[in-house]
Amino acid sequence: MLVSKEKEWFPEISAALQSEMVKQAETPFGIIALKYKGKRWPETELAGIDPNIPVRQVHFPHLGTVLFILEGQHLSGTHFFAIALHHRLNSFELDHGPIIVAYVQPNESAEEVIADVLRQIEQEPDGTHPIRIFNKSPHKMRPLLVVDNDETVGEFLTTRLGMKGYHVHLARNGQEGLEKFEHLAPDMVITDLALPVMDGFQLLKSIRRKSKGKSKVMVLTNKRLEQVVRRCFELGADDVLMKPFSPLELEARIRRLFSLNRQP
Amino acid sequence: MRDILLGYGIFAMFYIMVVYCIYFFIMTLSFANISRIIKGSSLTPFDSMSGSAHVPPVSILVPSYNEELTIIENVRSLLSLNYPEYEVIVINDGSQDNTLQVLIDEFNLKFLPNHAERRLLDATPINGVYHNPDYPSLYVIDKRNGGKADSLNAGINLSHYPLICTIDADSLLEKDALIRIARVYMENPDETVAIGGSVRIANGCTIEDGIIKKVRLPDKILPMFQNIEYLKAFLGGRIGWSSINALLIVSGAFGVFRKDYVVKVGGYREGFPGEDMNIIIKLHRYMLENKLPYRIAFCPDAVCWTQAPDSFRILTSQRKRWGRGNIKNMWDYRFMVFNPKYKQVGLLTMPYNVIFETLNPYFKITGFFALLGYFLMDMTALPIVLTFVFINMLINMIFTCGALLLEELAFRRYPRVRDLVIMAGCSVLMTLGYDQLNAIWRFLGQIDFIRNKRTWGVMVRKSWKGETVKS
Amino acid sequence: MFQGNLALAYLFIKTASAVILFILALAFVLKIRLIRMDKKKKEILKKYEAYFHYVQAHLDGPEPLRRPVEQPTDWELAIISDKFGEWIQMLSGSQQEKLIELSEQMGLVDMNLRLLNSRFSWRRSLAAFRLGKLRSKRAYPFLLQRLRKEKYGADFIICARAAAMCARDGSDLNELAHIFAKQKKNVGMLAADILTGSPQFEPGIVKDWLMSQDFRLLKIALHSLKGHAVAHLAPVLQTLTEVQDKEVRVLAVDRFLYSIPDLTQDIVYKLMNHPDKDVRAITAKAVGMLGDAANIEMLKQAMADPDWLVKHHSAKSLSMLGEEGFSALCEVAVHSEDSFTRDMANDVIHEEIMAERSQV
Repeated sequence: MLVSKEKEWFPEISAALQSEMVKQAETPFGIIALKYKGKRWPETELAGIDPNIPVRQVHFPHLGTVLFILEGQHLSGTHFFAIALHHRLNSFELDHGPIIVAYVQPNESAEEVIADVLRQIEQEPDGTHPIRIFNKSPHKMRPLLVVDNDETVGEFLTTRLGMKGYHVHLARNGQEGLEKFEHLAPDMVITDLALPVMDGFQLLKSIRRKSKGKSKVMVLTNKRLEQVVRRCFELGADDVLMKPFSPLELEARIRRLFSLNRQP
Repeated sequence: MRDILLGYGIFAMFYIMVVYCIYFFIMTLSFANISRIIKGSSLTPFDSMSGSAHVPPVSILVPSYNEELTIIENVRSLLSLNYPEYEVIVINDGSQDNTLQVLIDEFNLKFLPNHAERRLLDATPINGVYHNPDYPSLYVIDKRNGGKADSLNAGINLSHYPLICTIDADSLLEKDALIRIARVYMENPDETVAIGGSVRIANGCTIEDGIIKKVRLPDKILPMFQNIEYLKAFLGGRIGWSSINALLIVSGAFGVFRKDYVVKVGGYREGFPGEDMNIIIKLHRYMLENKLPYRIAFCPDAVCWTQAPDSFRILTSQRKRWGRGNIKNMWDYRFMVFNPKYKQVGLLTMPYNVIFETLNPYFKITGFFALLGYFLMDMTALPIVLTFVFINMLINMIFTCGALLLEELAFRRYPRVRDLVIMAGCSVLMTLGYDQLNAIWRFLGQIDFIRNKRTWGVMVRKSWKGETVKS
Repeated sequence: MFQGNLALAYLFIKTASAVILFILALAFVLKIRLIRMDKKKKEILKKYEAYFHYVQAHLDGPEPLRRPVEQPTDWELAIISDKFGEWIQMLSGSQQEKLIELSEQMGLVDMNLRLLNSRFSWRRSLAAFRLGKLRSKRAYPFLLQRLRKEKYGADFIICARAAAMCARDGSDLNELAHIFAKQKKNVGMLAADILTGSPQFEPGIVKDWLMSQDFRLLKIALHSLKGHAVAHLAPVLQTLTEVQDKEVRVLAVDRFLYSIPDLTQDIVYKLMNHPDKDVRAITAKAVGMLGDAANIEMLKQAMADPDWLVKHHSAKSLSMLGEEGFSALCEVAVHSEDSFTRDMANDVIHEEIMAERSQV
């Protein structure tokens, strides 16, 4: 729902949606919101980034934000366009703030999505990732702790699970993992076994001692020995997944463990 | 008289030339093999191997004496290696301090009498074994004091796996060191009886949580010299020696062995330093006498970090001890020297060792005095004397720089350009005194041997915990 | 005479100095080059950060992943190849396939195939290594071709691993197994690690190798079966327990005991009385895991075995067979004629008691 302050935006949003094509709302479309710096927005210079994709720009000057509407594009196509846009801006040396990529599905309220996106971009700090995917359910952001000293895994899970709405914290060794566990009280811990300082088994034991059954623990390991798997379950792991893993499988198992939590 | 002195000086110089030629040959071999080493060490998927069921299990033996300050960190560090299946056996060698109690408290260990001990090797009877099923890979053997070799033998008796890894209690093993050695083993498991790892100097490095976070050169001069020495020995020397299966020593601080062969040669020799060279000589001898194809390999990318002594007194004590051990081994196995039955080891390594390690000090010292005498008798010969000295320095520098080049080619542990500059500079300094000191130490070590000294001398332990190892 | 020697000495000094300077110069050049390369790598990773994020975020979903707008340079392709390789190694399932497809489209496979024909062996091995990480099935024939040209050594192993990763089906793995078997060194363990690491590996492949007369192939097969229970191979494994070759025998017993669905008393008896002590030891150990109380009597007798390992595993196995097994162990601790056997039983009893106490 739009709050009063946001009613200012309404005319522009309505104007953006006035277009015949978008009003139909049968075809989905992608949205890119970009916060620019400086007073002017060089609209014409950015035309034609990809001639195959029809794009419309809607300007929100008092927010310093411009909205791109990409008709017929799904989320990944929109994201890809955003990268091209980002490169083009860099090549013109146009300084800009965060970019948010969103996607409106056919039966969704376009106004609400746009309003949410604008709200998010207003609060978004300038910084690390210039391009972010719109997080549709921020209130569902559940804290999740990943303990792995492998940087590739850590980075990958942070990105992916972050995109799915989880708030991912990273720890690089068992000791750090335990400390973060005590501090953050996450709903779930995903841990490797071969960790420095304190290995995964010890971490698992310590977590179980501190939180009986409340936090779920999933072990993600490359040790394909049966005594290892056995030991994980003996020590109280809720699930064990082998590397290499399928991210979809991982996410399904995470959802399952979370849903088990809700049982009386 | 003058001519005799000069003649002797020249003779000493020729003798040294022979040594240098052999060393040059070995270093050339090191360069020739470096490409193979780089490939194996950077193009192997160690991450997935560290979870594989096909990597052979290893028993890590950690003989400990009076290690109460550091033993917990070290054991914790050893318990979290990147390796699929292994056990850590700490052997408390009758410590006078609280080493044993500290371990019992930290890991909640329970006592097992272990009366039916497996006696593969003779060792001082143990008091018992401490174990906690919560830490299934950790065992602590408690026994009366018997020395490092005796402790290793006791550890071998308990070990459950076919490969053993000997490591010093005060050394820091890198997380992937063991899996790197396992790769070398797996390439030729039937014939590999021992594999040595690299030992590097930790002084000056930043260590956190049992991992080397930043690699830096030592601040003080003595560890700095030792650092360069180790690089020369491991990179310039051992790579080459191992490539012709003529390696004479696998560092006691980090080596992996086939248990069955160690048992066959009677285990480690007790009561005298140099047991690390001794076991290797015994292995060579056994395999050659029984005409079994074998190799004793070296894996330079498997690294163990150790603290180098930064005080002159402790360093002297260590070097004298090494000297004693060396000459004892050469004397005990003198029948192998120049004996064709023992192939490369007998015809090249051991003679080289005798000439270089054992006799070299005499030639260097007497040669030095001869030149000095010559100079004192005839001041105008200064340029000649200086020339000798300078040539000696230059040759040493070539070898040191060769080692530095090998480091840059393959290992590159020191990230900054200035590190290389400092090392090059210190190499020059080393030729002006440290190399000579080495000769004196060896000489003193031999005197100790003749005087039949059996002790281990002065050692001081420092804690690793979270501090930059000050040096 | 002296002057001549001195002149020679001076010449030597000059050449030695030149050599030293040359070596140091090389070392410095290498170091600076490495620092530059690292810097460049960081820049490239930063440049493609948004693109990598896009790839990670859109791995699911039916749409294929798109290539970057500008075709990356060879240098950039190398960095991207490493990055994608890491992810492909880490993942499995449809996401992995999408990445593999994207790598192909971006020309990563082509780039590495070109490098596979390089004059320099380092580059060839690097290319092979990368292709293995990219799991490119198209690359398999080229890798196989290169593999056949290599002698056993670092290049061979790197190429073999890559080929196994890129194998298209079981028959490719079969080919590789035979190539391993032709090597002079006993590479059973390494071959097993490489072959079982392949996505195409499944235990049934091993059947033909087990029937082979070639001992090297047999060993590869037996090592590869580690941790796999394949019931229909049990009869073959059983025959292999009688073989002359020690390694084959010992491995076969272990795999047999792991695979056989139901172990009869006859078989256990035969193995527990096998002349090879290692066979007896493995059997004693396995019997404990199986939990069949009928074996208790046999284990009791086995505790009188002269070999330490057989005794030890028998004692441990008795302790795993419930109340009956434990009381049998106690009997041995009291009644056995041999004091060492009594000690051994007592040790295991003590361990059991300790373990129970810590659980309470």
